[in-house]
Amino acid sequence: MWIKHVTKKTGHILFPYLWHYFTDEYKDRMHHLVIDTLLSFVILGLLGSNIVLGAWFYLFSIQPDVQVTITAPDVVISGEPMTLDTAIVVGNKTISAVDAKLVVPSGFAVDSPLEYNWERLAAHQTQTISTTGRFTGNVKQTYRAIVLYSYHYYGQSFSDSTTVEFEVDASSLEVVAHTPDQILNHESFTWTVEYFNSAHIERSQVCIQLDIPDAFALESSSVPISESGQVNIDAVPAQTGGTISITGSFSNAIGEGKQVIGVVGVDQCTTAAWRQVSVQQPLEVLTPRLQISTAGPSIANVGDRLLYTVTYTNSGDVTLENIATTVVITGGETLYWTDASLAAGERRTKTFTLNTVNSSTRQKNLTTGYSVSAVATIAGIGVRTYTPTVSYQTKFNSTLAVSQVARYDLGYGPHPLKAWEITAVRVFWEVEDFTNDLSNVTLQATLPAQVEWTGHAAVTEGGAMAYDPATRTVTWHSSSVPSWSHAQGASFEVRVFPNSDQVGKQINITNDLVFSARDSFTGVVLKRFAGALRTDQVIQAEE
Amino acid sequence: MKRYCLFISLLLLSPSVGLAVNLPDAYPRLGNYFLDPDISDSEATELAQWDIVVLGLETHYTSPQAFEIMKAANPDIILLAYVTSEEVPEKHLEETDTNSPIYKLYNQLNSNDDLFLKNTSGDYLNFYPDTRLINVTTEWKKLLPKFMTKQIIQADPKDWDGIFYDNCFNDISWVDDQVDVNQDGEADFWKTADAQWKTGMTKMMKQTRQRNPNKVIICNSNGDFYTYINGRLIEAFPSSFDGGWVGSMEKYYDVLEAATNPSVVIVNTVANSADASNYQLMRYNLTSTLMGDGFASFDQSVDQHHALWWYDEYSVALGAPLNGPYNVSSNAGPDDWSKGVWRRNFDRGIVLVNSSSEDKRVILEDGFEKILGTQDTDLNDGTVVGSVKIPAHDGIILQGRIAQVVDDPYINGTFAKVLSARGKQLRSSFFTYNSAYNGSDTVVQVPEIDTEVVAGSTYVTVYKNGTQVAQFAPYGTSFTGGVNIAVERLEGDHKGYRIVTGTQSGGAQVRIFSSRGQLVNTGCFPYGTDFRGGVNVAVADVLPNKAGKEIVVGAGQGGGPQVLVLNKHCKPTGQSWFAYSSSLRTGVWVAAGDVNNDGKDDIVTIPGAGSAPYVRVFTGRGHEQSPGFYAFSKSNTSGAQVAVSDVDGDGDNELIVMSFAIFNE
Repeated sequence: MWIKHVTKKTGHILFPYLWHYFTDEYKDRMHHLVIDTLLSFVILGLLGSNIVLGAWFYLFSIQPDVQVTITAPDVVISGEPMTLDTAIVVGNKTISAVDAKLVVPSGFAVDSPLEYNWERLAAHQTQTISTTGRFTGNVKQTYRAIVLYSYHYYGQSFSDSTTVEFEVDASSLEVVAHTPDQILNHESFTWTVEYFNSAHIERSQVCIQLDIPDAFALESSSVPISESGQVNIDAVPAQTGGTISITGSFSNAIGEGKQVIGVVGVDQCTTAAWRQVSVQQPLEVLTPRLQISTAGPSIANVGDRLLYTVTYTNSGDVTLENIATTVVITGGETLYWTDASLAAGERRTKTFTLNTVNSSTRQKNLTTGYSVSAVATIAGIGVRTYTPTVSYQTKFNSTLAVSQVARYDLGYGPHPLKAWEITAVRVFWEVEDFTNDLSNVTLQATLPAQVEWTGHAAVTEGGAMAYDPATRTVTWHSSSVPSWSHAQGASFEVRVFPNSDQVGKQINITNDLVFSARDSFTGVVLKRFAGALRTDQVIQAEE
Repeated sequence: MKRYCLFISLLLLSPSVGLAVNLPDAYPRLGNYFLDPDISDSEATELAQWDIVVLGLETHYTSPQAFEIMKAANPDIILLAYVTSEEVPEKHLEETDTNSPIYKLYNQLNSNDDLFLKNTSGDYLNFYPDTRLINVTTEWKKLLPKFMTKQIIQADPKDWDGIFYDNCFNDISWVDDQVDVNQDGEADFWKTADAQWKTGMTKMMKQTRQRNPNKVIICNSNGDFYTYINGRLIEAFPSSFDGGWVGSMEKYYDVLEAATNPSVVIVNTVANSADASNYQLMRYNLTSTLMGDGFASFDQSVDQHHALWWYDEYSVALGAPLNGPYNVSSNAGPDDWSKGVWRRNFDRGIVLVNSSSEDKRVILEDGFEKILGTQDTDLNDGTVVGSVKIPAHDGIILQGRIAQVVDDPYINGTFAKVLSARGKQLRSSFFTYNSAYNGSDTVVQVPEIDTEVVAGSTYVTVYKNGTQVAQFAPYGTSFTGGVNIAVERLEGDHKGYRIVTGTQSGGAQVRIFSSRGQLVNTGCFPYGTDFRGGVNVAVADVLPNKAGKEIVVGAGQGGGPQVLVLNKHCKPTGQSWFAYSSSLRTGVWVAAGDVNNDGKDDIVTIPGAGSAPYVRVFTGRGHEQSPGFYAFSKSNTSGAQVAVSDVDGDGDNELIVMSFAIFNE
């Protein structure tokens, strides 16, 4: 009974029993039962083995589906922030001990971790990594970033890698060269290189690599330039830049030809030397064919009428056509002259006058003048040539007013003066209205016989006044008197003692005042004279 | 023993008495013969203006508070106790107040009739109504010095500086031809009487001196006791009894030469009127007195010596005399007094007196400034004169013209006005200038230490007695923006001088140096390091309850008119205010000192160039003291600076406003 019971219970898996049970009863054939039982165990064992084998195959022979991708931005700018996005997509198998490591180019200064690990990533899970930093590299060069990753799956270890390539499109270290389109052979000119760090961080160890044609003779530069044409800049702060000025000329060029100046910025040039955007700046070098000379007064006084002369000459060997001469006068006014042609060796002269600085103008170190240039077409080859701009400057002497004034209210005694009575007067020597700094300033006057020096004096600048009794000369000297400071001058007291012969007359308090000083701007020794200082009223008779 | 003999010999040879008082160095010296014993507080305050005051011996009993007031207001005042040496007013003999010094002194006479001087008929003698003469050949010659010493001087030794004996006559025979000095009942031979009298008086004076070796002792009369006394009062100068002006001056000088050093002579002139406006007579007294070293006194009459008449001339600070008097015409000195115009020169002015009977015109070698007075304004109109007409029997005091600001910075060569704190002109304007230094340099003259500190565009240079002793560049040798300076005892009145510097342009840094240019304090930027307009500096005790003095700063050109008060370490005190509209950008110049003479230091401000020259006076806490005023024309915006300085040497500060603007007028 128990057997039936057993077979019924296990019949659905122990088919040999069932088979024999329904086809061959075990009545009296219990050995069959034994055999079947053994057979069933064997079959059951085989079946179990297959199942185990199948499971083993599934687990250990099929690698989990893990997709790892890394992406770079569409546009990469050297020196700017950049993000690399890495995604780990896990398939239908959960993985463990997952490690990921990013290998980035050497110019990528990351500010986030490069290595990651997880104990377990579940099936169908996606893990993303954003690797941020600032990338610096050579512009137009391709760089590669790699993700190395590994994981475990039921005791098995798997590893692989994924890469992404990107190209540096531009740079935040911007370099621009400014050169004239045309330049004359042997004409000294200045060209500039502007650089700007548009990044939000300071750049250090920046170089500007200049590719200067051999024909260019360097005269000066605002910063040192190495023999290899390199300019080293220790640092360029964020959002700032600078300008490099280079002056020189092309020499030994023959005829009209082109030259190219190349400029490239190099980031971290002493360590990594990332080359940024390069610039090629062409310019045309012309042989001089037209010359201009100027003439006029070099020093003038405010209010003077100024006569200037401009002479232009065809110094080449072919005729120049359509000569246009432009004169830009200080202040902006412009004069134009045109000539249809100028034969080789021919010279023409133009004159003009200026009275633009009127007598009321007051300005320190005032100058006027003009700049002149001309353009022409070279007959035969049709190339436009030009002259260098020639400037002419006229410096203006300081305006200046020198006076001597008597202040009776600061003295004492009768006013109007009376014969045989003492009146003291304060004499002011005033230097006014002068625009330029003056040096070696001297004012001098003699005192008439009836006037006495009292010794009461004061000056606004320089040393004390001096009186020489032998010559009756009063002198004030100052080594320098700055313009636009307070009122300048000296004052002194004299006592006037008129006699009866002078009744009814105005008499001298001081004789002529002589002023001399060197104009520190023009170098001219200025002289001025103020007439004798006379009493303001006639002398009265004594009481 | 030899050592003691030598010591005694040296004492005897000593030519002068070492007085406990100091005679004033400054002139005019003024005396007041004030014999009213009842002195009110206000009278005491007025009396304190005089240098020497003669008071009745009972005054300390009747008006003790007056002494406190006078000594507090004028610690150098000399107070002399008045007593008649050889007579007594009869009313004093009737004094009943037993505590009164009058009673204590004269009651001795009531109990001893022999002390009075009588004639052979036994009559009391006198030479002045209602008085009795006392016989100085009696014990009186000892009693009086003893009383004056014990009961008066030593009773209040700090208040009394000496004794004034009235009527110290040499002789007595002129009083009565029956005078009985020796009390033998017979008329004395006049020579004998006079000799005995003089002996008695001499002993009295000797006793007085021996008992009061350090006190001033003077007499009123011609008595010749100058071996023991310091001088006399010349009453009713110039007296015909003395030979008019010439004789009086001779006597004046005789006493000055003969009296025990230091000589004290009070030259008293009486108006013989209660009207104080006899200015000519007052001047005649004052200018004549100034020909010597005496004390001028002017009051009503010989019977009424209790005037408080104060004159414009009394307030003038002449300083010390430079020489003796001389006759302007003959150039004779005091050995040959004769009528005419006499002159004496002083540090800060000259004195002229015309003793002749006709008006005289005097041509002066330089301009001198008349007093700007309030009384005889026709004469004292403040003008500068090169000649002066002096009426007969008149005199005049002329002040030397002011030439420099002292104790406060000035810009060398600027035109300066001398004003009161309320803007009233006090003296003629002047050019403050020292020819030793360049125009526009900033100069501080400190007479107390014979030092001048001069600041230029870069350097500060210190001169001692004209010799350079230090030079330093407070802001480095590359700084050329101009240096401002203030020189003061920053740490307190008993500490050394400090040079506080500011800048005229550029960074507004204040720094502190010793008077030899050593950096004491690296300083501060009171307006922050970003302000580039410079900083003006001054030093005074504007916050008296704080230790040391304060540094007062004003922003330079381009800054607002903000005044800041810093302590001596350059740290903020919390006192800060805008002296003018905060929207002004002219900066503000500051000066500090007691400009209104109330005993407290003030702060004076004026805006910089570009603004009207409006002066204001503040306390150290920014409270405006008095209405402001325009120092120059309102339209003059060329800039001015202020200083607080005693330019006339009268002991009171004046407000000085300086500018180069006069060159633009």
